[in-house]
Amino acid sequence: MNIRFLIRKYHRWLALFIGLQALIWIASGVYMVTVDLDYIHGDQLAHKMDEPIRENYQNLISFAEIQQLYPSASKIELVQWLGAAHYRLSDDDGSHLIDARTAHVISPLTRDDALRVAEYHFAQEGNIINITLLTDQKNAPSELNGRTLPLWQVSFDDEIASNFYISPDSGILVTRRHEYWRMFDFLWMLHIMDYENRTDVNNLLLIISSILGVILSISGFWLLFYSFKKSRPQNVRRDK
Amino acid sequence: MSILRLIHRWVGIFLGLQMILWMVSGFIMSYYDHDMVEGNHLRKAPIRSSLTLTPVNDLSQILASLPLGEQILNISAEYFRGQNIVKIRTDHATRMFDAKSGEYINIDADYAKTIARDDFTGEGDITTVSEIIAPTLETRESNGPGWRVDFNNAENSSLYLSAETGQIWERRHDQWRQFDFFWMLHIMDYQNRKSFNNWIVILASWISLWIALTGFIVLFESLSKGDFNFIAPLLARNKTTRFTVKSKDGHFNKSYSSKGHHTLFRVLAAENINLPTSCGGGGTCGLCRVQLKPAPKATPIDYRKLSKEEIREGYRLSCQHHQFDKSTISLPDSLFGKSKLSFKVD
Ligand code: FES
Repeated sequence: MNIRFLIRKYHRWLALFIGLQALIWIASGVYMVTVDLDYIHGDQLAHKMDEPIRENYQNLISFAEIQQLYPSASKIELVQWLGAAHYRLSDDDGSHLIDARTAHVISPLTRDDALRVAEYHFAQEGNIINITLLTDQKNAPSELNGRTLPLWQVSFDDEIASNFYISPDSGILVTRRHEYWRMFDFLWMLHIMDYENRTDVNNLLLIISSILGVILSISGFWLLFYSFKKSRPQNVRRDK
Repeated sequence: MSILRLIHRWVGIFLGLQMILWMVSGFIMSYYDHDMVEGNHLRKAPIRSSLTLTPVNDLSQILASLPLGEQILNISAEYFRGQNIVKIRTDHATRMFDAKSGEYINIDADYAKTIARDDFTGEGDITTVSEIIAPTLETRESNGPGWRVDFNNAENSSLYLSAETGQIWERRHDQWRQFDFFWMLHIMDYQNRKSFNNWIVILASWISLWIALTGFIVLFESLSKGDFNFIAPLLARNKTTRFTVKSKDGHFNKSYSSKGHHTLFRVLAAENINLPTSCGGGGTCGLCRVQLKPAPKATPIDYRKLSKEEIREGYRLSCQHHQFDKSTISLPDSLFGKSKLSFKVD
């Protein structure tokens, strides 16, 4: 039997199986390359993220004093948080946030604190419509990609349904999510075919599908090439 | 050929090739173990230190030593390789000082070598240590001054670390370099290999989407044509089709019968009558035409490749027809050479 007949035959079956996935690869690829990645990351949503420390160190509680208060601390940081200097430290019990002027312990953040953090960093138009403390790791929203709880979830009523996630222990705006991010994440899942965790690019299904994709594209190209090459005299004859 | 068709053809060829590159690079990237590509397999597990910090004494003095005009973003007291340090990040640089003495910690080439040696668990010795001033292709995710430490092993390992903080930036080796080459092909950013929001890949992917969608329309067209029809072949699997083949000049005249649901093109091929084809029976080349009497109803694909007159005369594309019971099929004399039927026309 003719070799091209065989290619035609199997290309067609392969196309049926892998064609849909190829279409998904292309369509998800189109979205991912067309929408700006910084926008997906939500850079436009948040501001005042890394502000300089304005207070004079002389007027603050010193590192040495904080160390005396928390002798088991393995790391102590002085940062600007909500426009004022704060100590953020980690010890055996996790993270703590302390006002660097008064030694007042802020963490764990209350609902009002979380609201203030969200309002301070939110750079777009919109109102906060919901604040929830998420603690149940098993039922954590999938958009957190497995980040450890607890986290305050602050939802805005803007057009792209933004969510801010704030750590009650460190006071950090850990991550932000919005509609375009969710769509990106969904399409990424379809692209890498890891329907469970959306992170594993080495999954067997993807490896096998991409091998089939290689065969499909090469055999498709071969056929395309031949239909270019041989259809010319045919057309000329008919046009007479 | 018109210029538009020429453009169409070349765009088709380029995108066809790119489609292959996307598939091949996609396969390689999913096949290469991600942790290995990142060099994590040859990295020493970080030692969790249980030491406690000793009091930071001279912070005021350290702060006073900073250049004027730099804004402090973060001050931290932490451990660095068993040493209590103070790390100060400003809008210009990050600096580390010994927490006790307040002495500046300078990560020079020798220190960089030690840090890299301690991190790396693979084979080989350090050959060269070189300075990184601006980000290179291999350190494109990191900013600031750094060191490159090369090892003389089979994988050509290179460790990159920050000259400010001693933090390991990257653990590169040949597998990463291969991976990165395919990544470049995949995202079509040939210069920086960084951004997949570039106009080449945007254009290429949109056109590909259009091609893929039209490809699917062709696929569904052939679905209705019976290519993917499971029922007809099943129902017709015991059906016998009888037909006669003759050459136009009448020298050849023979009756055949075949069983099952197959295209005329295939049935003839099984009888060693190989009609010319370049599309392999896809209905796109039009070379497999034969004249039938009586002729089955012409399909849209017949109309695409044959003139109305030819259709009236009973010409059909043999790869498109399954129903030809009791038909006589006339073929050009040239198909029947001296050595009857063994002459291949293709
Ligand atoms: S074999 Fe090409 S059209 Fe029939």
